[in-house]
Amino acid sequence: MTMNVDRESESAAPQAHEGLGLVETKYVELFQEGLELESGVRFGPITVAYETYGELSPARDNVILVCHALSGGAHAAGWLPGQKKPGWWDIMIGPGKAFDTNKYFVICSNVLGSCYGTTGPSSIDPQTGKPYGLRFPVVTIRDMVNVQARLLDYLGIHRVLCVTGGSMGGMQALQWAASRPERVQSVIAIATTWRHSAQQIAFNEVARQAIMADPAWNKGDYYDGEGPRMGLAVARMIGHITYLSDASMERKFGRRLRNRERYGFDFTSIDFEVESYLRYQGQSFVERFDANSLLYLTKALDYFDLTQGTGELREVFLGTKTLFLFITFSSDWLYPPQQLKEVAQAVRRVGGDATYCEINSDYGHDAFLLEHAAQAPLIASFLERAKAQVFEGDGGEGI
Amino acid sequence: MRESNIKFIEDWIVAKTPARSRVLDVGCGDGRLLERLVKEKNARGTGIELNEANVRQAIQRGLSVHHGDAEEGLGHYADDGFDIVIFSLTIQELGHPQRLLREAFRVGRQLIVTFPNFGHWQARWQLGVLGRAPSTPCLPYTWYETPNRHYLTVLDWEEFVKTEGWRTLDRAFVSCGKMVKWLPNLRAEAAMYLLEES
Repeated sequence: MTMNVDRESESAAPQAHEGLGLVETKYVELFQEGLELESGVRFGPITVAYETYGELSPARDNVILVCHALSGGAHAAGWLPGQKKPGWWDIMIGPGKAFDTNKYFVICSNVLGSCYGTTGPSSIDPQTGKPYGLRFPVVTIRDMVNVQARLLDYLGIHRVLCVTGGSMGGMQALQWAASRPERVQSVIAIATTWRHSAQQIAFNEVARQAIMADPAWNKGDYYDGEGPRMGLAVARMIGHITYLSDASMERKFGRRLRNRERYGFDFTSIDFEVESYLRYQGQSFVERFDANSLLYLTKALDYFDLTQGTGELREVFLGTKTLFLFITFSSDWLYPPQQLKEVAQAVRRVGGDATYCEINSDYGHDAFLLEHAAQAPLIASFLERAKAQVFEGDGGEGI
Repeated sequence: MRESNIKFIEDWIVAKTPARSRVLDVGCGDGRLLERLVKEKNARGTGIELNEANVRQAIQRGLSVHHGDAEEGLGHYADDGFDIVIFSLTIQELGHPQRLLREAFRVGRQLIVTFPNFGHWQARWQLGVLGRAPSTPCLPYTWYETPNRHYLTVLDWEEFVKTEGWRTLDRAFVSCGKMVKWLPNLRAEAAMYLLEES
């Protein structure tokens, strides 16, 4: 669920405009007739922001769909004009990288309900001329996948070589394999789960309550003012606690004090480094994210259950021809390894092909964005295998 | 285990695996045997391995692997999902080999089991005459760091197979990379068996 852009690019220490160089975010309006959402509501049209990297092969068989996490966007790699940082997964996408753009055509689109170009609660409702706010319908991971599928139709792509993502992006990848198996040759799901657990829902509920308890939230109608800045910042702080681990916090902050030798014995100043970190993360998030989008996306996470309530994971994958790679991290307590292990086991139990690897790391959930050196070779070789395999999922008919 | 023996064992397993078999390698290590089976026999192979570095290497060989403890059981594999289940130099390190071997016959039709022979004369000499815990080229560990939890000999294994009611379809013995034909329990450094349920 993390998209710690600030820290991620620090660790990558990229040179300006290396790798993919300048990229462009494109926009397309889909679903003129409306999309029937999982809730039963019909909603449209929907603008989708997306980026592509690399070249589509003549056979259209080299497509990789990258799905972003909670606070990410379509800008996964390369540089946008005037920006100081590359896309959120630039370390993994580009010429010669794990998702090698010399070989693959990579697509990333902003999810439905977000605030980075795809229609969401902060978009203008054409019927009122004002932002949707809470008039925006509640959306699910399944709805996001339906929008992505239509984007692929629009781009003339039937089948993808791989759908991949971490955290919320991993849920979309799993949902793709579950609801459109004939279009998905392989899936790489990282640090994610097949359904949100009580603990995961609980953290999201605290985040939502923080936003909604802020008077400036004003029932979601705040776009003519500053909005629930404090509420959103607190929500993000909670998020960041769950992205780290006890060990990584201890190493990063310990009990170190911030710019002082002794306690301040007050509540207005900052005592500990960890407090400073959380406040910084909260504040910078307020500058770049919409509070209502956080409500909608956390709700989509909480509603996520690949089995739609049955708990019968095997049935989801019956007859699957998709190849799976699951990557988890030992210290990830937000999405503990066991949850993806269960998916791997269900796939195998129905005769499917699942590879599972738990990477030893003490970065917690954040490891998904930080442990790139450990993941890259696994991903690159898995993609080679997926490419070499004859896919029977769509009866061999191709596009 | 000496490299020449490992090579002999791998060649034997490859030879005993029919083309296009579905193979499960329990304790597949870095995947070098599985890779041969996939390449040379067009096998549809998958493995289980506990060690992360090994798992990563196996994935980089383009293999399908499960990172986990075989001791947790084979419950996540389909009934009769495999033609052959391989335990190569694995059973002596397992906590409950009997339970796992029995379960292997649920997911696979045939088993290939290979193990170091603790009845080898060098081990007997060291233990029986010198009174020392064996440390030989095929058992190269000190008593305090050995991963081996079970010390079995060719005779022990033959009796076990008989008690379980399994049928030995084929077997071979090796020492210093060469086939051992007579007195295997005394002369073989490692043994390999192809089994099926009767």
